[in-house]
Amino acid sequence: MRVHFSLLPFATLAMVSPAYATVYLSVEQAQKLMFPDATFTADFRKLSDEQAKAVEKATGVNVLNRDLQVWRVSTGGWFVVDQVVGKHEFIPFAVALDADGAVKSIEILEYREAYGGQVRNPAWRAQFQGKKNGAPLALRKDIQNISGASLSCRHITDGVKRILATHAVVLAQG
Amino acid sequence: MTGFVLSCKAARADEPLFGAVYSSDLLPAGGAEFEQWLTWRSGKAVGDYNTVEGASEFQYGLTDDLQIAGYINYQWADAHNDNVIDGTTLPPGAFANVEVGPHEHFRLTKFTGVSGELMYRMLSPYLDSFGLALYVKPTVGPSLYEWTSRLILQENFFDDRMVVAFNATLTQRWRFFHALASAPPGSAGATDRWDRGTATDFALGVSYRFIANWSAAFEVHNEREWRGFNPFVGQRETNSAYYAGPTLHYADEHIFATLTVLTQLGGASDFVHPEPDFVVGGRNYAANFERFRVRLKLGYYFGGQA
Repeated sequence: MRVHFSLLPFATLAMVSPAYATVYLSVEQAQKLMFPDATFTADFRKLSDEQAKAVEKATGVNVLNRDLQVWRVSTGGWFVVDQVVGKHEFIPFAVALDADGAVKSIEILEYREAYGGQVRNPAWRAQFQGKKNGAPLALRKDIQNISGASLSCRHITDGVKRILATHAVVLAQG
Repeated sequence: MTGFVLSCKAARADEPLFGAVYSSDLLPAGGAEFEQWLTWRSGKAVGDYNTVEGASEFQYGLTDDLQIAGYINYQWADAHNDNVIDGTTLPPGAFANVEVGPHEHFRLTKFTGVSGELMYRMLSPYLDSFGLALYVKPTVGPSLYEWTSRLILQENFFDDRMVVAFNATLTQRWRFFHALASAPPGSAGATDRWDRGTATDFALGVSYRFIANWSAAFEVHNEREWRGFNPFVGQRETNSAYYAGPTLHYADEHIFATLTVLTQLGGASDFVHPEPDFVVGGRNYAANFERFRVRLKLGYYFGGQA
C-alpha cells in the first residue's frame, strides 16, 4: 500500500523524543566517517509530485518526506540523510552514494528503541554496499533479515531503496 | 553473514496496541517485560455493580517466535440487586460459585488464579503477507480450571503504522460449585458439582500510530457463552453480547501505557431465559456482561539497546 505521509518536522520529533534517545553520529561526524578528506556542498531539494510518484512507482516504497537532505561530495558522489519509521519513533540514517549512484556505506545516526539496535551491526549494513537502483533490496532476497529486528530491517532496507530511486529520478538528472 | 544473523539477539518488543485484542508481535529472544492490568467493569440495567480485575504478568521471549508468560490474577467486586431478571444480587461470573443471599450486598476481594501463557508466531507481518500466531493460556485457581486458545491474524499498512488484528478466542472452563444449603433437594444446586462452560470472543482491532510514541485504536468484540465444552452442539448457547470502544496507547524505550474503554452495543441475546431475560435495551446483563469496561495496562521493558 503506497500512501503519502507528511513527515513530522525534526523539531517536533525532538520535542516528543525522550531524553534517552541515543545519538550515535551527527551529520558532520557521519560525513567525515563516510567520505574522509572530502568537502560537502549542501544541495537540498524538494521532490515534485511527479518525482515523488516516480520514486514510489519504481520502488513500491512510500515517499515519507519530499524535502531531500542531500550534499554533493567533492570527491564524487552524494551524501544523503533520511529517516524511516521505527517501532515507536523515526530512525534517522545516512547513505553515502559513489559517483555511479551505488551505495558506498550506510550509517544509523540515531536509535531510540529498546530493541532492534542490531541494525547498527557493520555486517548487516555491509549488505548494502554496491547496491544500485533496480536491485531487489528485499529481506530474504538480497538482504538478510535480523531475526527479531524485522521491522527496523525492513524499513531501513526500504529507505535505502527509496534513496537509490531518488538518485536515479532526481540527483542523476543534474 | 549467516553466522552474524544467527548470533543476533533481542530486537523488537511486543506491545499491547489494544485493550483486549492481541497482535502477533512478540518479545525478541531474551527480551523480558512486566505488565500490570486493571480492568474496571461496571453498570447493569438495575442495582449496583462494580468489579475490578487485576493481573500482574511477566513475559519472556524464549525465541524470536516463541514467548512465554505467567500471571497472577485477582479481583474485587461490589454488587447489589443487579440481576435484571428478578432484582436479586448477581455476583460477577468469576464468583458464580459464591453463595449470596437474594438481596445481600455482595463484596469480595479474592485471588482468582494463576495463568501461564505460550504464544507462537508462525508468520510475521514484517516478512510474510500477514502475521499469524497461536496462543494458549491455562489458568488454575480456587475451584477453577480454565484453558484459553486463541488464533491471531495481523496485517499492517502505511509503513506498519496501521495494524489490523483479528482474534478468535475459545475459553473452556471448569468451575466447582458446592452444594447450596438453600437449593431444593434433588436440584442441580443441591450437590457438589463441577460446572463446564465455554466462551468465545471474535474480535477485530485497528490501530494507527498518529505521532511518534502514540497510537489510537478501535476494537469490536462479539462474546458468546455456551453450557458444556462443545459450542457446536445446538441449544447450548446461553448468551451473546457485542462490545466496542477506543484505545489510546503510549510507548517508548522502556515503558508503555494502554487505556481502553469498551461499551456494550445493542444486538445482545439471552438464549436461555424466557422474557424477562438478561437482555434490556438490546444489551445483555448476565453475570459476565455489563455496560462498560475500562482497561489500563502499564508495562516495563527490561533490557535495552545493544
